[in-house]
Amino acid sequence: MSQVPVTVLTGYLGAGKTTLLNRILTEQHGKKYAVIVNEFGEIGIDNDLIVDTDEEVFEMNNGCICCTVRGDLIRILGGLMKRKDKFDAILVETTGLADPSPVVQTFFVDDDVKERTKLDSITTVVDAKHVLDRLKDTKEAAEQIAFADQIILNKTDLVTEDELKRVERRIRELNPLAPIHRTERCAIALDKVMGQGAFDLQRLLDLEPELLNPERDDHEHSSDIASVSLTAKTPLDGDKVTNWLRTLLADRGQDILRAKGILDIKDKEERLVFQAVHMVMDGDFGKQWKDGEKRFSRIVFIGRNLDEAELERAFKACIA
Amino acid sequence: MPTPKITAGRQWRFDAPIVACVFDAEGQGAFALGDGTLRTFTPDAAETQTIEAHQSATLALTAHPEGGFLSGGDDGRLVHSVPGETPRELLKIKSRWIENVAAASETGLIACTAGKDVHLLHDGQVSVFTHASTAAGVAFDPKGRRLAVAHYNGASLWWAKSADQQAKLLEWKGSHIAVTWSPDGRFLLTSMQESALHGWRIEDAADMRMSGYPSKIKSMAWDRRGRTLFTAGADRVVGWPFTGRGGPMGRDPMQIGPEREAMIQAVAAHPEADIVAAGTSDGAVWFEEIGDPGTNFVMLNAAKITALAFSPEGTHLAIGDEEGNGAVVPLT
Repeated sequence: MSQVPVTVLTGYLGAGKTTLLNRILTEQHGKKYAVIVNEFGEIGIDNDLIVDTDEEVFEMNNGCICCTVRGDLIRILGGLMKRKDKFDAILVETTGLADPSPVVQTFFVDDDVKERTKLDSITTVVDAKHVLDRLKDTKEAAEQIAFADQIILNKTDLVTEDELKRVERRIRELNPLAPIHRTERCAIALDKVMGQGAFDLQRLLDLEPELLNPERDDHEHSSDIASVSLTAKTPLDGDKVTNWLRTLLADRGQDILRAKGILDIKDKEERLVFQAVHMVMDGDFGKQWKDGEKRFSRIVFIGRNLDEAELERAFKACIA
Repeated sequence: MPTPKITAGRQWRFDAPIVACVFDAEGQGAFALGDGTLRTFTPDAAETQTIEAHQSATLALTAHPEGGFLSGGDDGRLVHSVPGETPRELLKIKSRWIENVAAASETGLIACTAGKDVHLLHDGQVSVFTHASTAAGVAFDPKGRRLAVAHYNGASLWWAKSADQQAKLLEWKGSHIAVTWSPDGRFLLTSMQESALHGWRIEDAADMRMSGYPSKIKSMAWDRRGRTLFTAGADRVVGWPFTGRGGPMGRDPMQIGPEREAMIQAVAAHPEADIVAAGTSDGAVWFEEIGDPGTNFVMLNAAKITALAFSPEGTHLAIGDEEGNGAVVPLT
């Protein structure tokens, strides 16, 4: 049975999520999209493709992993899957103040959700005019950017090119990997929003250029969220590196929002690709290294209070 | 393992997933479908009748105390359907799904869940009981006087006909997603998101934990004497003993049925014999007499079984799957 892709749409209040949802619901795109919203009143459209819900974040006790999930989402996705007409994609809007982790973890933790749907991307809408202020006075705005697989930088018509560049630099500090799409009134082709396959490990390799050369900044960290990227040019010991990642995520997973990596493992012809959201990690062997290709390992962590020196030391200890 | 096809009985192919099936007291059966319809049948008829009960998907189904069927849908409607008659809307709740329904044959009371609210219908009146989180399951006690509601961090008990009351809260950490009373009313059991059962002894709210399931328990059924609770959620049916004061505490459950790799999705207990039926994730249905391991085995299709029900006298077993295959098999 095929899995319906689900895009999680985050973004601070007023960033333009509702504009994007309205477009998805009203444009002639020949696709059938369901939209799960929390601020129903704002949409102003009433049809059976819109599902209204109250975010219900539950703690789930699964052996040693204790994580939060969205209980309402488990029920609603299950209900949507019972319908006669199948959906091309589903969009989940999170409230402006929400931490994105529970919604993302729902897709890794619940078996029924995993069986029938797959997380396509976390897309964050950012208000170019107000984001720098929001980053100063809230913690959610930074989390939403740090979590994103891609960013829609909206309301670009309200700021100058210089201001835009400053905003983009600030976004890059929080998240060096997510592509940034500049928009006015969220005017972006919907196939750029959906069908990204950001959690598909094989497509993680498309990120290779960014992973290899993440845009780095001058490290004037104005919030506790930042990214750390680690590189090794000689092969890693497969057991050591997987044990390290497992232990690291178990111990520090609360603070690690996202991690993505491409690894060169000793005696393996394929790249080991992995990605993680908090404590849940998914990894597999991907594309083969070509003959004569320059092999490397690169991991990018995005999180809170990351100790770069300590991560670097532990990573280097995994070199074979 | 050979996969015998169904040779007797009736089979239908509907074009929407089957969500539930049930028989009413007179022996009429109904499948609830993801296209909003009910497809009703008598065990010997060749055709089903279609009742347009809901606009989108039917989400919940049970027998109505006055005959016919009670259903809830993602159109926010609670509907009473009787074959051959126009379906009757009992309740309509704006922008909410009705995901669970319950009915008490003893008192004729009806209840449904819509978000955090449980709506109770009695003598033409509606009472609303509100909870701190979504009401994920609802069940009447065997006398039809008390209502249990499963939700996050436990279950709430409400008296059906008492105004101005506080719910009695039975607490247990975690998300409770379905609820059932033991037929003698002494125990309340919930299924949990964490792939476990939880139970309370009503007299003193003593907790009972029943864990070890590899997946969520989506179906529970009491045997005809109310002594054993049969559950889905594992590769065999797990049956918990509820005799004695402590019920299953300190006792091992029985495991029933063949060892196969597929997970049990639906269970049903025969109303007049010690027979349990189970439907699996790979489309198999088997039934077995307790203590007599000769399993009767049929294959409906390759799709996950989502619904299973014995007719009131146990002469037929109705089966539904998530791809819309429905069947009624005579038991001889």
